[in-house]
Amino acid sequence: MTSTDTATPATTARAVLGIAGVAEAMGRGDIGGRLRIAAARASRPATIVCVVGEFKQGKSSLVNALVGTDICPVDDDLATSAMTLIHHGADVEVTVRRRQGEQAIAEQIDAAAISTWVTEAGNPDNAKGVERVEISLPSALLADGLVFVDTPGMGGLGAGHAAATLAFLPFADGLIFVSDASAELSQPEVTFLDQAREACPNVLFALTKTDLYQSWRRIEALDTAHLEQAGVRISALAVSSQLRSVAAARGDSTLDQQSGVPAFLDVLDSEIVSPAKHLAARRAAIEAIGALDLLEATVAGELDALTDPHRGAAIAAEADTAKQRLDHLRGPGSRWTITVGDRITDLSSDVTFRFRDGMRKIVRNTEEEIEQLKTAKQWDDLSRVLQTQVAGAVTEAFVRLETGASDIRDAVLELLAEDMGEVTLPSFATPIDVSTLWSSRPIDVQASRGGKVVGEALTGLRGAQSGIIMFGMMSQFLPAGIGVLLASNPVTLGLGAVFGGMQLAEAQKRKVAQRRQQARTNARQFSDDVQFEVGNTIGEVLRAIQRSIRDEFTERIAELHATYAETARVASESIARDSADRARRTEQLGVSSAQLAQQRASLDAAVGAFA
Amino acid sequence: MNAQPTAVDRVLGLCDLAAGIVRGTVRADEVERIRTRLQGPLRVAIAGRVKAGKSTLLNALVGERLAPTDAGECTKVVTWYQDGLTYDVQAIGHDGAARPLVFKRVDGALHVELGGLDPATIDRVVVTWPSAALRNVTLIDTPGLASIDDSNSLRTREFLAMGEDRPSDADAVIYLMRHLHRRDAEFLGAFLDRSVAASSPINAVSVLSRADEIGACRLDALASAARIANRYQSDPVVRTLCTHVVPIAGLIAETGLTLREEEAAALRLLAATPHEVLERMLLSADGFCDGGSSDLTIELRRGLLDRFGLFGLRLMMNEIRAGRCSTGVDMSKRLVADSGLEDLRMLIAERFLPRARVLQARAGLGALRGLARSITAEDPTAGRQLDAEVERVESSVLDFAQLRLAHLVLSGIVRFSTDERNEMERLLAVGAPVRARLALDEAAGADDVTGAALEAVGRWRTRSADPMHDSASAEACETMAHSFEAIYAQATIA
Repeated sequence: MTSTDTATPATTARAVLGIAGVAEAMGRGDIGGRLRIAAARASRPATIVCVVGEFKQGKSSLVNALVGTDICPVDDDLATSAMTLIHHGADVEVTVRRRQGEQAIAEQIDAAAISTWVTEAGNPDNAKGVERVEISLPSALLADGLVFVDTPGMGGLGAGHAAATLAFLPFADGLIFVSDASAELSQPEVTFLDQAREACPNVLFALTKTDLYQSWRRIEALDTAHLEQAGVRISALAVSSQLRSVAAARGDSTLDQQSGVPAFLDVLDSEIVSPAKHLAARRAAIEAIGALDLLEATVAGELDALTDPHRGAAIAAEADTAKQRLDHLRGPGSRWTITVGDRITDLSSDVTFRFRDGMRKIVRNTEEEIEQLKTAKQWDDLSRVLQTQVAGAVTEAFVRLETGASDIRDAVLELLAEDMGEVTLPSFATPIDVSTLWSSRPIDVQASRGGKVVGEALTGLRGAQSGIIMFGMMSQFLPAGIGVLLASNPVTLGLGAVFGGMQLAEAQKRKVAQRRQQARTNARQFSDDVQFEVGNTIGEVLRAIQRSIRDEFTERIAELHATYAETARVASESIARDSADRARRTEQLGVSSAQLAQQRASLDAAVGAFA
Repeated sequence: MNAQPTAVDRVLGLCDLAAGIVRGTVRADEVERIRTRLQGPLRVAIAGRVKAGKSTLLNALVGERLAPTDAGECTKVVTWYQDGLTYDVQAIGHDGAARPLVFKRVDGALHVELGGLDPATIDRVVVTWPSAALRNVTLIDTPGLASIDDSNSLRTREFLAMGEDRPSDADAVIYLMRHLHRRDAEFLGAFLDRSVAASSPINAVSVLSRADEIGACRLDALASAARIANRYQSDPVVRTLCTHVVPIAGLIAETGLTLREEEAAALRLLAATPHEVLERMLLSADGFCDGGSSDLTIELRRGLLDRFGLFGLRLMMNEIRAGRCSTGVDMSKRLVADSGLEDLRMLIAERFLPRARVLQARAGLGALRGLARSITAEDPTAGRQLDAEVERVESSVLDFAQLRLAHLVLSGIVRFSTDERNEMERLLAVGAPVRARLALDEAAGADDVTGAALEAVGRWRTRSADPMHDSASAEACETMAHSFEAIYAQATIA
């Protein structure tokens, strides 16, 4: 394998698998299993791409055109109202996740019936409590782990969608912003794009419906100019989902090219999918290098013992001591397990406190604002501000959890390095650096401790394995929370009429006072509901984090323990070997060692190439 | 009912009285202004988001290509189109000074040059154009809302005077939207913040514009648009903002009304293209203008696409090939008939303008009351006399009370049961015959009419005495009772 110059995610995954094979041949099934999982992740990283934009701009059509189906319902009139995840699967399967009262329900439905769940027509005001719909498709495009998220459009009569969409973006790897060629971008669209870009900087701009308008090039130029003026430098990609589907039906490749979709897919790959794959490959390579250290330590130890029986005895003794030391780290009473427990408790109270404090401030501000409200428009604005702020507070809480978890991993690592530092291994040809053992933690986390959490920490979050988990959690409760607000939101229920209209002096005043009181109650109720939901979810996430940290380190320590045990065993064995046997074994090990060195070179190349 | 003086007549009578009082003073002009406004055409503003198709609709309503239309946003200043004896275009500055502007017609389209004037200094551009379509209505084109160029958006808001105290320059509003956007609702709702004299569901009509582009310009786009408009119209939020939502394909209406014979010829030539080639051409705008697929020059094809849109072309090709259209007259008729323009015109003329007239009268009444107040400062006797007359007209003209009722009911300030609301809407329906208002058969006899009216009077009297009502609901019930009384009175006189 000439890996030095051409490291691709595929070659990296192969190298990782190669090492897994070696590990298994050496009787280290534990390491092999871990590397096989890492290799699978490297070749199929979950890459989340959100499709956003105003309603009726052709988002669902675009998703259909990209994956080459017509599974997302497209209608002249009614827009998509539920978030829809489209991922790879062997068969077409549609799962609706919804909530009935306190109960979360997931049920499989017929693909033909999707529209009764995800559109305003089939499910007005989300009476069915749909939180999201998941579609699995046997699509080649999605086979590498790409996940599309078709979002409800912003700007429909039901407010709050923009806030909900923005809240998900920190966990997305990329963003496709959709606007059609019928008109140039409007101010709200530019504002949204600007905000969205802060949460997720990888943005593609799809200019849709270019088949209908001959002036799409003018619109494209105008849009680009508007964006540039707003400081957003992205170029529009013209696509026609309609042409793409006609082309597919006729097998007409010229028409397909004209649709602009193939070119769009190329850009999607180079701008979003490939970088995500590279990141995943790099992460797998680093993990494999850590494992390689363990394997090489055993091989080097045995080689040393074969060449010099005296050193062999020393190595066996040292490895045995190290193994015994590690026994201290394995019980539930060990220093690091206690630390994990303590830190999780701290993190829990910190996140909960900040979140509650943030919510309290938001509610207090809202209540003050309510006293000042004079017009229907102000009221309308206020409920949107409230929604956006609450969504922001929730996102912040989850970002804090994620960065907190990464801090805990760092702390445990430091602690282990300290404990392990006492295990001196002068005779080892390849000393084991503990800090390379736990490479599955998010790399290049730029989290500043404290300070402005959202924003800086996000780069670290993106692409982290937990991203997809967080994403699921967010989408599980956020729309429900927003739904609560919408249900108690009197914006469209005639409040405008109370503030506006004719002078009905006294009756009006009394009504306004009543509505203000009602509004306060609603705002509080909303805040309580969100806090309850979020509080529960924070607890769940924390328990999951604690479990994952504990399992992860326990496993790593077990691997290390096995490594020393194995080294001690092979060192003692080699002392007992006769000279012919020794020579043969030395030669064997030389080959293994060279193999491992070659694998290391290709992994180093991958780490370098995907940096 | 025809024999009775209308609200406008009554207010014009007050103008005569006021003119007598102020004769020879500086206030004489003021009275004249009120009178001219009442006698002049109604002012209908066309508003909506950027690129909703406002100028295109305006052109369709006039039947000429007056307002400039373009792919980019192009209406930058508020522009009035009014009837007159000569062709004339002027810019009115914020200082009130009028400056004549240079204009010319290119391909039937009007081009106005601002001649180096900064749009920011212009209050409005007034286009005077002899046209039968403008005789009773002055149309006002406004820059798009939610425009990137925020000063454009601001100009429209200023013009419609949202949230300000000065009375609106427009008597009624046609609001264009492509899909009902939250901002549309917000915008329409903002009118409700103001006094009834500005805009309210009673004088706002919504238009679902660019109907031909719905559903990827399929041939059934207009049927689809009609369904969508229907749904919006029954949406409770929309009902508090406007009473009607009409689908319009402005582009094909405009083109239908201004179709030139050479365009018809080009269409016929195009229809003769071999079927497979034509079908491919009509797949997309780019495909249509692609190289050697047709004998028409690319320039000509681009022109057709601008004028007809992809839907218009698909429709025309379908019609010509099916043998249903061959002459320019056929094509023009078909385009206009499909566009929905006639429905809108009828709605405006029959349902919308009569009410706007009453609004206008009400605004005149307000102006006269202000005048009475300032006269009182100098001549208390005359001032009080005028004020008392204003008061008398306001309280005695049922139209004004009904206007308030319509506003209260339609905007959702007062709530009644569905049956009652339906009864109210029936009664308030502009231009409806007496029997329809009473929900009677057309064949119902005079006794049935008086009987039904009397029954309703009694019922609404009782309702108005309901102690659970707030003052607005009680007022609404009383107006209902008064209205049925008037019907009863008229029926017995007849």
